[in-house]
Amino acid sequence: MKTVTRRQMMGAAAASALAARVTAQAPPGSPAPPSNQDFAQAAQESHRKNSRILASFPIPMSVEPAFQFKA
Amino acid sequence: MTDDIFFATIPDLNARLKKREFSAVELTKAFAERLEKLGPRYNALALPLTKSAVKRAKDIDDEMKRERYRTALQGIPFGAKDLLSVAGQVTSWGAKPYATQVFTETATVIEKLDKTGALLIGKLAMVELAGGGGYRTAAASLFGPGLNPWDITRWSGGSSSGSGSAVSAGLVPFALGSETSGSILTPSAYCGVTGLRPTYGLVSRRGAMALSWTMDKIGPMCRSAEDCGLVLETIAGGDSKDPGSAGKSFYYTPQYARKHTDLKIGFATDDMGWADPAARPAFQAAMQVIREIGAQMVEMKLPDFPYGPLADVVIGAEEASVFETLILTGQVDQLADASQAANLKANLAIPATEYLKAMRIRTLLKEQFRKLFADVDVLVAPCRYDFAPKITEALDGPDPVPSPVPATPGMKDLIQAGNLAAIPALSLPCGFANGMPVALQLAGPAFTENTLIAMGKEFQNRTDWHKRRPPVVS
Repeated sequence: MKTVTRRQMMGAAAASALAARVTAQAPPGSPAPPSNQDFAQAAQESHRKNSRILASFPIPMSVEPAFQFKA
Repeated sequence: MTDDIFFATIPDLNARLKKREFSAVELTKAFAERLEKLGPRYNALALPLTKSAVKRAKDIDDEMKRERYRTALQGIPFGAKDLLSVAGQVTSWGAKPYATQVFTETATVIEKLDKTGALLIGKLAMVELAGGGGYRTAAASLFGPGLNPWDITRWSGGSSSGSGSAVSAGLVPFALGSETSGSILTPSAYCGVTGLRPTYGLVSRRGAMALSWTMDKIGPMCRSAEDCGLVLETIAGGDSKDPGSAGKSFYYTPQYARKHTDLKIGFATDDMGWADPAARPAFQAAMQVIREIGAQMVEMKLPDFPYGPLADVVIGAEEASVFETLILTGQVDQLADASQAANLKANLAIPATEYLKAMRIRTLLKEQFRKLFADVDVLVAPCRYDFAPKITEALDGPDPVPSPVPATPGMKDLIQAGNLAAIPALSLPCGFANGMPVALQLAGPAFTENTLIAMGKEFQNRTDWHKRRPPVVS
């Protein structure tokens, strides 16, 4: 149900040389395909980037999460 | 029966059933044979259900002989994404760890369709776990890459891959898909079918795989906007067994639709700059058709929010909770796409505070969308700004940067924004780029599906893109 946005993924990838390595399809003669470790590091880097972006977004104290707990 | 029936709309098929041009059994057998024969060639078929469908079709024929007519869906075959359970049948969620999973209950949407006389002839392939973690290749599925009927070297889109391919190739008259962040709209756009993402909570998710409790929706993928209305009328409605249910029904009432000339439609000129250059002529021509419909066009842009990171955090945190056992037992490594497995593992570490922050920002986002829809009734934009990529192409590869870069983001984040805001959207085929379908997206306020469908129907009255047929592999 979730579709990867190539532009969005690329934005995350640009954040680090490592992420850039795992994003593009490897043409002949380029570095080896990404390993599981590379994917894990890219995922963690993406998390850090998301955290930074959300942290910079101002939220008034009165704003509650977009779900309701009902008694 | 001629090949025409495989590309007929629901009202047409139903009218021909009533005229006894063919029986429900004959229609069901014809589609089921076609689905079994051609479905695997597109990696679209997860599980054929021909025997049970033909048995049920006999009951429908008996009813129709006695002129016990129900809705337009009576006697119409359909397919369902393999994330929806059918009692006693395998429901794999497109993923190897669940390849033999069997539930004892049938999903509410399938029960509703059954009650109205529609006939489930097969489960349709999907991206594993609906692509929750984010995936790198089209092959991220138990069934292999979804192949596009317009060019089988290209992807059908995801995660409702089989639903898109099967409707496009005339293997089913309509299909059910699901969307958390683009999984109905994307395969609909790439495969050239008409897809509707309903308002969150309008359609029960009981019996569907959970990915994101606050964002999952189930909706129809069809041959026309009208067909989407007919299917939505059947599957919508309150369900006490779905905690997210809005408790609302939907009645497809085109006769009461607002006049198009009374509507205000928001659009962004910069969208053309973001579109793939090959697709721009089609989008521009389609926008001209929208203008000719007579609504007032209003230039605007989406509210400024970090849509991508918001969707990542909300879906990531919720899916990590849903699939915690899969991740912690290591079974997640059986997934076909290693990057998705890595993302799911990493998502377990999303802090609660960050999830809550994302959900608080989502509150602000919803407020901004309410304000936006005080000024316009419908948003229109390219559905996807590109067309179906090659199946060998890395899905997370670089997008070409448009030159010049448009001054504003326009509506390019509308899929993610609309899903976060819980609003409905309709994907309408609107032309071709390099031989592949492209589509417009109409989005509106919550529970305004009738407005979107009416506008879509008018667009399809003036165009024939939704009637085009792919060169079906034989």
